[in-house]
Amino acid sequence: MMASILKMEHICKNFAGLKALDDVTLDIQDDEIFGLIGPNGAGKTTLFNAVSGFSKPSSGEVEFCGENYTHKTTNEYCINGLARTFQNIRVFGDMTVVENLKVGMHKLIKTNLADIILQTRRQKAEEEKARKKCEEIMEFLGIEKYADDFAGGLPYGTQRLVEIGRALASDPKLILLDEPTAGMNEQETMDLMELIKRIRKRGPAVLVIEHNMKFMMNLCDRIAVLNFGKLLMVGTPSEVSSNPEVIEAYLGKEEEK
Amino acid sequence: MKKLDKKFIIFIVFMVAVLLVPFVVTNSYMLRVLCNVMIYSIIALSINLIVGYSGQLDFGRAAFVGLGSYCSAILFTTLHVPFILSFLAGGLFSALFGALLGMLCRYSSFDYLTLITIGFSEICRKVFQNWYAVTNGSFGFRTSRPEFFGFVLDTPASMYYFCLLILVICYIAIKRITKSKYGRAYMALRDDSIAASYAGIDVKKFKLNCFVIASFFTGIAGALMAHFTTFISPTVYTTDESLLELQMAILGGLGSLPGSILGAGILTIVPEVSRAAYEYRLLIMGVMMVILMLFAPKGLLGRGGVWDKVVSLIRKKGGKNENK
Ligand SMILES: Nc1ncnc2c1ncn2[C@@H]1O[C@H](COP(=O)(O)OP(=O)(O)O)[C@@H](O)[C@H]1O
Ligand SMILES: [Mg+2]
Repeated sequence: MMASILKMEHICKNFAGLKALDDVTLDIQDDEIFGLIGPNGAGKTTLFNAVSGFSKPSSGEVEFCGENYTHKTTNEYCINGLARTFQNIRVFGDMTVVENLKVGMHKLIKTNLADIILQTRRQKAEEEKARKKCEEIMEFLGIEKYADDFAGGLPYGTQRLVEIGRALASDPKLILLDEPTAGMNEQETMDLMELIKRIRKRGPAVLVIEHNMKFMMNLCDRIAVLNFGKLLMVGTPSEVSSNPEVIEAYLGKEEEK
Repeated sequence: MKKLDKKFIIFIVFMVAVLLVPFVVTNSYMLRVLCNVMIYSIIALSINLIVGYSGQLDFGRAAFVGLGSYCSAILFTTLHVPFILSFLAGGLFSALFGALLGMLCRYSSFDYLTLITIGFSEICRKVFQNWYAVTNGSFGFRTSRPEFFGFVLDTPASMYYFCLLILVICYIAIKRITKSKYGRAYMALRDDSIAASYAGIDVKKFKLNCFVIASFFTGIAGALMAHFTTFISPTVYTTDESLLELQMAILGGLGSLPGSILGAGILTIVPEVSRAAYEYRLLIMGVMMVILMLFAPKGLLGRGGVWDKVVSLIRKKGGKNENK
């Protein structure tokens, strides 16, 4: 059944005089890949931060899974099923890939300190469960050969996958991807597009920020366009790409470059 | 599998050797030094948990050693509480103060932890020095050896085994913590606290519980120290001592548990063996710290530390030779 998973109502965010977000209202469904585009500095990352508990919106309301989450912390968002990746990669550099993924499973591992110190059956079972699940995710992403390598030393593209793996490990209902193809070549970008489609089929809804229009046209069910903190339009990829305002604000600029 | 077996055999051989030490080394001075190594190992391990795993800097560990020492010594020697209860109370008392300081940080910011630990360690030293009624001030007081059901551990060998037992228990407990969701949460918030909070980790809560858990082990080490040296006075719980203990953890390698034992071993044994090393120990340690920070910030056994570098260098050379 289609239902609203992340609802933003009249979100505004001000930074010392700068209106980074100006009255943004969006409604993400739980079975779609939703794209967010806009020129650099349009406020895309700021929007992610405001609707995931990282920096509270200056005004407006956020509803996540039917509950008001405006004043919740990132932690509480995660526990209720939100996961994200970052524009500037944030892997745990001095931990191995499999450890990175296990950190993603933090909220799912139900043991306490006594279990851990006494190494009870429950603790062993939970660790085994975590190991299996992380192996499955690493295979899904094709990074199983890096399992015991430190994440900080891996190539850029692989670190991105580790970040996505960590997000998937928490069994999210919604996953936010902030410019996941940044720094990737053509081939890697296309692979990632396929991967995101497969992620959507696994369960979570996807909200993705991206610059690459070709990538977004093929991938998204709906796209929202942000410009100077304002929502220009929301629509299907073909509606968006044929809207003259969007072409002027965003696509036109891209061509000039 | 084969590699695991090899590790296991090395471990067994090592344990047997350690168990046989008191039969081979009958010199009681040597046994005392080894007991010191084991006690400082526990302290270095607890520091490793705070500094190496959760990435917070603590300059006042000696105060927590002191709290464990005084608590256990007063309960056992002055108030005649059964030994095992006094001993555990030493750990819990230290953990309690860890919790109090951690709470202060939790409701302000953990950025202040380093400063708070320095201040706290001075406060503790002053209390140990001036609360005559309880601590007997700078004169200190005599404590008694551990006692179980009338059986007193008064020989060097029995004390050696007791220290070994406590070290092994602490080591296993800390090892299990670091291999669990707790340890992973500590490392995650150390590497990137924002990503950790997005992974469902309550960052402040885990910084706090890391500090409390580590303080428990520090307190246990303190209690052990009090009943081993049979004398306690405030001079053992100074900031200099805190720095020395911190250096043990750093020299051995932050994030490596065997490293902490190695670090404690080196920094305890070297000043004992060489008189010169003892006299100039502050100078030597200062220089050593600078060299470590510049050339081997991961210490001897840390991930990517001296040992890892040597191993990879040998592998490379071996590889080249094979190619030729
Ligand atoms: N923490 C901050 N403090 C002040 N200004 C900020 C902050 N974060 C973002 N901004 C500003 O808000 C605007 C939107 O930034 P951002 O959301 O990162 O854009 P993008 O769409 O490229 O992700 C930019 O002008 C940026 O400089
Ligand atoms: Mg951005």
